[in-house]
Amino acid sequence: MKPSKHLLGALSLSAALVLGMSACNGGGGGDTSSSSLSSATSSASSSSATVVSEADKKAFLRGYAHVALLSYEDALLGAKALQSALAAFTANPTEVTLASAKAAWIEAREAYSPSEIFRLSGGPIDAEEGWVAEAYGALEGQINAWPLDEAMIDYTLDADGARTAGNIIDTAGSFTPSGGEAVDVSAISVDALSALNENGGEANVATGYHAIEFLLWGQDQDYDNFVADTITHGQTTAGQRPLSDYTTDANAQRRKAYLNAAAAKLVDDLERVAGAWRTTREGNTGRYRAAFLGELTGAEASDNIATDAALKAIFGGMGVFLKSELANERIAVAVLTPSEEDEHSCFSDNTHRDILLNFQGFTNVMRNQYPAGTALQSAKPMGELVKAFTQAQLSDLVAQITAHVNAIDATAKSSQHFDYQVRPTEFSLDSGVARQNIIDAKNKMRQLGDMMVSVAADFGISLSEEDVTDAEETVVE
Amino acid sequence: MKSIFGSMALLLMLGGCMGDNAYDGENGLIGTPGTTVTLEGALASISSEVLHQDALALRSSAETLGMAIETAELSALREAWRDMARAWKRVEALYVADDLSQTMIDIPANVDAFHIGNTDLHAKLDRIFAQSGDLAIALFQNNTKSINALEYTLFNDGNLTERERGAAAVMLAHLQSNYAQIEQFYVQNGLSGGEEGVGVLINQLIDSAYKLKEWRIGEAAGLVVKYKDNPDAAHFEYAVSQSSLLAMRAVLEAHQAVMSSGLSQIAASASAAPQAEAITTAITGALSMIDAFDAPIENDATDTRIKALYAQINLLQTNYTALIAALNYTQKIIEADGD
Repeated sequence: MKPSKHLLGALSLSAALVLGMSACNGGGGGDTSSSSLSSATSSASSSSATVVSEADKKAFLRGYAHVALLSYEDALLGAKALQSALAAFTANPTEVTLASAKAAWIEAREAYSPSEIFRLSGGPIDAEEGWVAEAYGALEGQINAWPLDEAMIDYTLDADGARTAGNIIDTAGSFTPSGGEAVDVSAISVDALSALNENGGEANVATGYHAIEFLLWGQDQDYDNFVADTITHGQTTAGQRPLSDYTTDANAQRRKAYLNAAAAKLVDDLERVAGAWRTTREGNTGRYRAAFLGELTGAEASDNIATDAALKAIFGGMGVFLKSELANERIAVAVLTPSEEDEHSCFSDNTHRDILLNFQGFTNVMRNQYPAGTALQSAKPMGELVKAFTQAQLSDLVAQITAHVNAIDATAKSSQHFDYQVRPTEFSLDSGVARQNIIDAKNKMRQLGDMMVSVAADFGISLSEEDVTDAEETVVE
Repeated sequence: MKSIFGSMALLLMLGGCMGDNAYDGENGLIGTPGTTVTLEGALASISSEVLHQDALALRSSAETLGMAIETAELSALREAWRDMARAWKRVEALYVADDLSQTMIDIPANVDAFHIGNTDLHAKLDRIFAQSGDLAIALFQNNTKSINALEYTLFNDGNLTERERGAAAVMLAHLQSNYAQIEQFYVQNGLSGGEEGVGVLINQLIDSAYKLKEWRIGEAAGLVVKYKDNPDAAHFEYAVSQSSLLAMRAVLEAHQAVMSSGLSQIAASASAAPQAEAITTAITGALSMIDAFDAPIENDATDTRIKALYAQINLLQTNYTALIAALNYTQKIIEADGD
């Protein structure tokens, strides 16, 4: 992917210029010394007058807060169900309970993934400064950190086919992550995992969905060459961690402890985030929602977020999430490099669902609906508040992207997982059709991310392309 | 398109010119007496005479290398690679296809791995060369088939093993496929849309000047924040083949071609002749500075002439900015990478 060009010029000439070049001399030199600007007439530049009333802005924020609450409450329920399934599995590890645990993980992801649209907006999930960060702890990195160095957690087969060691599971005593500080892992606990997570680097992931995913499915990728696919064979095969890792293996008990601790932490973390959006108030519960809607009173009133500031954060966050996170980090890097390592749920091969559900989060907000397809009555949808021209563009682009993500999903379910869909054309199973579909999806998602500038403008909010682009987004190799 | 423009027509009315009426490919747009050439026409000339011709030359240079790849001596392959690299740098410097169509966004990264990612490409290639499996599978990643990968294959040492030669053929086929897409694109598409087209072109020139200054000169010479006072010749673009000066020259020659093929005339027509002339002078000055190097620039990243060259390209970038201002553009400069 091409890095953004460093200077963008927006021509503001509002004139028709008729340029007379005369007295050119020979030799093809095109002497322009006597060229002149002969006329200029005005042409109207488009006005960006706000079309959304203050009342509708407030109502939109209320709707957004409601969708956020419903999304996180579902994510919390999913995490609790996962926790129960993991408890059952670790109490009695069989193929049946392992399958149930995996199914619970997938269900938990179904619930969590749409909520990711609420990221990058200064909200309770990932605000890194100010009172919001203090109150809610910027827990996204604990809940959903990715990509991860799975060899830090448990064994893998490296590029030479050798089994790796020196990980959290097989270390009794003190474990030092690469580039990080030592943590006592004699007992694998919530505190130990929390201390290890992103200790020494962002890839040093010890907690959250993907750590649990790895412990359930195990490695799927051939680190030497994913096209060769020598670790788990086949286009519809995910990771194949043996049940014996939880029964007869020397470290079986530590893996069980890891799963249960990671699940407990996931539930605790999601409880905190969901609480931020609740309508009831107690301590930090409901505090963010109240601030977001300008309803804090007394000493807390100074924490209220102005309507336009909230809107700017929302639209900017939606744009960055779509364009830089989903389209770029989670899709473009995987398909263009190409690289299995960079698919989102690379152990379970659940990436097709991540993509579809992440995008569904966007349409949930746009249409003020939850769950998908169920309209809420709390406010007029964002997609209907903007100007007709923006509406038409938005609808068209969303329809196209929906078709693309549905195709990714259907292909993964029927014939080839995402890691086969991203294969180079010469090694693809369908002459590159699925690959091109993924590329088209990411290109249109980037467009849609940029479109948030227009959406914001219709709300009277000034955003630039830079506001919807992560300046540090990965440039694909 | 990244920029939003008005919809008016900009006409270049060429009147009273004497002789040499057609575009001559080198010196610009010339009209017959009374002839009116639209801005669309000027952009079309730049598209057909520069963008498309450069893409054709690139494709041709790759074909030349392709004919030699199976059997030719290493020295001949190296020379052919240099010709191809020179042609690619021209195309890359003026690459506006990504602004014109989404389908063309990813092509440059398929071709060129310079300044992208943190992978140790040389180590990756060494590993592949040491293996014995199918080369097409081993080279599945785009960066292992990039022009930089091919450079390393041909220049990393004095020999070319059979496996390396086979790898070179795989890499070249990949590059040729991408070059063909670019060439075909410019057959069907070019700069248009009046002011919008001019904006796309100038934005690209500024982007190219910025990257020439920061990436291709400043980083290696330790002149940018990222590598402040830490010069390292390995950071030059084509350090392995010591062809970095060649690349810089090609970039500047591409800029020169655009100026002389219509952009100077467009600028002059909008009363921005002094700004265009300053750009042309800056390019000429930079080329002279490059010519003054009598040894590969990679020999000494601390050479004081590099700092002067950096300053000259900075001047070029500034002059493009001045041109935009003179054309009454509203600009937003984003100096990325913290530099």
